Amino acid sequence: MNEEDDLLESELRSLTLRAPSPTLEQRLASQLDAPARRPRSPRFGFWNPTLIFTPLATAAVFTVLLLRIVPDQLQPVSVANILYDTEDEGIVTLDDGQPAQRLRLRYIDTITWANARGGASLQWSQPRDVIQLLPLTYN
Amino acid sequence: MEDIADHEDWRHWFRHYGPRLLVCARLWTRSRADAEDVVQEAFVRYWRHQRQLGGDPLPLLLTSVRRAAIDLSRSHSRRLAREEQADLELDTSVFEPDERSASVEAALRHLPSAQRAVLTLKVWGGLTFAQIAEQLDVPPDTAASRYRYALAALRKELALLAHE
Repeated sequence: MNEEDDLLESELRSLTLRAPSPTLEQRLASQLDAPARRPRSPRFGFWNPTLIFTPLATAAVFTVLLLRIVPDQLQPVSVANILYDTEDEGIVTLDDGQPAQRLRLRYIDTITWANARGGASLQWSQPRDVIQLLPLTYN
Repeated sequence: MEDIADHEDWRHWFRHYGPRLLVCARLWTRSRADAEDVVQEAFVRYWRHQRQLGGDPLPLLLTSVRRAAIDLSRSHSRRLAREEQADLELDTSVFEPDERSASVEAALRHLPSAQRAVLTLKVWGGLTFAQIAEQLDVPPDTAASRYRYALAALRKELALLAHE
């Protein structure tokens, strides 16, 4: 740029720009000052001890009750028996000489243990066979 | 020396930068009322969400101003209302009134809009040519050459006005 450009640029920079209208500043204030005017507790503000200590005290009471009522060990909470097969093993003779039909029932037993305090759980499944002897009569 | 960009009071900040934002907003709006609307939107967004980003705030703010102006111009109902208002608006000066500023303003109106935009963003927006290029989506060399042409044309217009 030449000297004339520099002079003109300086002159332009020296002109006083019009300020935004007072209305604009009021509109900005209504938006930007609003969060600062949030109502607070008249006595304690953010450090109101009631707001802080009440939840803490409630939590402490529940914790003590939980420790007293619930033992810290695994306990059985549910048992399920599922019959998944039945087999007819034919006619057998009982000790007293009476004939009987022998049935084999096959189950899966599932036992669930849980520690209510710690949240741990254990599931244990085992097969179980049941023999049923149904006496037969001949008419 | 106090760093105005670090000042926490928005009023202090706005009184310093507001006139510069407004004169740049007038580039992309058809009335002073619309310019104030877009400055308000951009400033609130900046103060609430972008202030902590650091760096030079003016390029960020002027980008927000330009986007708000584009959004405004896309609003059909607002455009109609604005045009009606613009017809009625007599006082469109961006400078405090005096004899010299009136001449400058008259001369500025004769510049091509592309040159006026570069001149405004450079002189009153305080942007570099690289920042102006980003704002106007032109190469930096183009921004620099438009600025030189704008100064030459403005000087010529001012000379003509002085002889009238």
